[in-house]
Amino acid sequence: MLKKKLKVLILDDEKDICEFVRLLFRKKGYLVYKAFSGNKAVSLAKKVKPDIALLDIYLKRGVSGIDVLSRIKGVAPLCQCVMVTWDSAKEKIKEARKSGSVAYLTKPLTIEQLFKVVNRIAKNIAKRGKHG
Amino acid sequence: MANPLPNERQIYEKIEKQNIIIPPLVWELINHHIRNDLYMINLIIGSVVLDGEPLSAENAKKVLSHTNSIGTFLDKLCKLTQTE
Repeated sequence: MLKKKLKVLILDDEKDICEFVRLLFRKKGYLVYKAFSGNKAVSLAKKVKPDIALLDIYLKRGVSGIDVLSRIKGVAPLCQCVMVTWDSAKEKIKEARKSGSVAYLTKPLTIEQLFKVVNRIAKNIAKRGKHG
Repeated sequence: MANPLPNERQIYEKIEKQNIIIPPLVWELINHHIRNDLYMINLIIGSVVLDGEPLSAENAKKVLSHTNSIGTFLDKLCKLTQTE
C-alpha cells in the first residue's frame, strides 16, 4: 500500500531559511510548500490543506504569524501549526497556544529539535488516520 | 567557544547586583538578527553533520554570509549604543 506523503507548509520571510527548511523536509519525504508572506501562506493552506505548518511570528510589514495561524485554522482546520520564532516571551507562547498552535519553538533551534517535533506531530497524524 | 574573560564572573555578578538591563527595544533587535542568523547556521551545519556529507561551497558561502551579518549587526549596535 502506498504511504501518503504528509504536506508541510513553511512560512518565513527570511527567504534563505524558508528555502533551506523546505529542502530539509523534502529530503525527509514530505511534500513541502513555502511562503514568504502571511497572505501567500493562507492562500496555499486553502489550496493544499497542509497537515503541518511551520510559522514564523514576526513577518514583514508588521504581519503577525499568530494572526496567520488563526486564518490557516479557518481554511485548513486539521492543520497542525508550529510556531518557530526568536521570541521566547511567555505571553507570546500563551497567545500562540490560545490560537491553536501545537508547539512553539525558539530560534536558534537545532535541526534535531526541529525534526523531533515534526516527527512527533507526524506520528500523531498517522495515529489519527488509523483510528479516525 | 570563546574563553571566558578573566573577570567574567564578576561582570555577571555586577549585572545582577546593579540590576543592569538592556532596553526591550534593543533586545528585540538583538534577538531578531542574531537568533535568525544562528538558526540558519545551525540548520546548514546540522544537516551536514546529520547526513555525513561534505559542506557544499554554496552552503559554506551562506554560513559566511550569516556570520558576517552577525558581525555587521553587532558593529552597528555598538556604534549606536556605546557612550565612550
